[in-house]
Amino acid sequence: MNAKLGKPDPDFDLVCRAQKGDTKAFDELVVHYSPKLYGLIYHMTSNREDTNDVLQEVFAKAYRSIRQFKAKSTFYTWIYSIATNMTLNFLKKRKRRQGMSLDDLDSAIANDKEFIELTSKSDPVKEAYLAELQIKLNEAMQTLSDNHRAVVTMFDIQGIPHTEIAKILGVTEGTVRSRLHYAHQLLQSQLGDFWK
Amino acid sequence: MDNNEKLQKLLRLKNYERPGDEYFENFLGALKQRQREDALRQSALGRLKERVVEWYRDLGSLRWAVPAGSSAALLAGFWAVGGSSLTQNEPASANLQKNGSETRMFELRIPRTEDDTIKNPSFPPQGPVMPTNFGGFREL
Repeated sequence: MNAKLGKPDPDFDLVCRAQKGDTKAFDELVVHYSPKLYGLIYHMTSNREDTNDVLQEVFAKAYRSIRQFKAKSTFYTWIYSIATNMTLNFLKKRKRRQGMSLDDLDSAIANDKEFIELTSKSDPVKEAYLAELQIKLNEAMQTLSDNHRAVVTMFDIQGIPHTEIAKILGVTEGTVRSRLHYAHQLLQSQLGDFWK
Repeated sequence: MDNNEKLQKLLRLKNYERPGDEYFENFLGALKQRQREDALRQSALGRLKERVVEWYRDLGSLRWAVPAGSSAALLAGFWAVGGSSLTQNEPASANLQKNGSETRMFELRIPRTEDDTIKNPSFPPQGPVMPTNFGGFREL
């Protein structure tokens, strides 16, 4: 079935099967979407344990509500909306953690060609620089409001287009662009020393 | 490369901050385990309540219509039950009295004895008579 966009939903068959009670179809959806949703939740919460808990809750809710999914949007938009709303609610409830421990860099990032190219121009002491960069960026992200962080996570980190973000958040595309512009300005001011 | 581009490039690299494949391989099992535990913990009533709350939340803009519709249905139900029980259980005269309508019953007295004739000298009529609208006769 076509979603409102007119684009066919690639998950339509799996969703139909899951709505009829096929648990294996739902499992496939979980396997497909858990890495993406993990990224979304992790970059909003900056905590792995919280991410794991929220991610489980998101899929548990999706499982309970899958029969109410009417294909007015794609399944992707629907589950992203659930994940975003649940994470924002979680963040409201959670107290700001003092001195929150930021996760270590994954080994993959240190071997990333793009990353090496970007950082080697600035500083010869690559290892120290990588760690510092990571910390600074994470700290800068934490200064953003939850709504601004959500937009930055979806657009800059996950590469979701403006129109899709607007649908997920239930706001206009203009609001998305405006939040993004403001967040970029704030992040640039936070990372001011890094650019020099 | 301006600062905005650098920033976007840096942010894109954060996408690499994710656990290894092992985590996602185990995630499905952990999710199912949690769902089983939740199901055991929750009573049937609790699950029903949760589903009703979720259904209500998902109604969106139609949410206001539920209490209004329920009230209307409840009122209609009361009216229907109350109305039907009244008509079934109470005699018709009770309804008439409630409505304020009264029907007066008049006893029709027909003289059967000689005394009656004396008391009412015009009966039987002596002169010519004509029928009335009420089924009797009037003396002309």
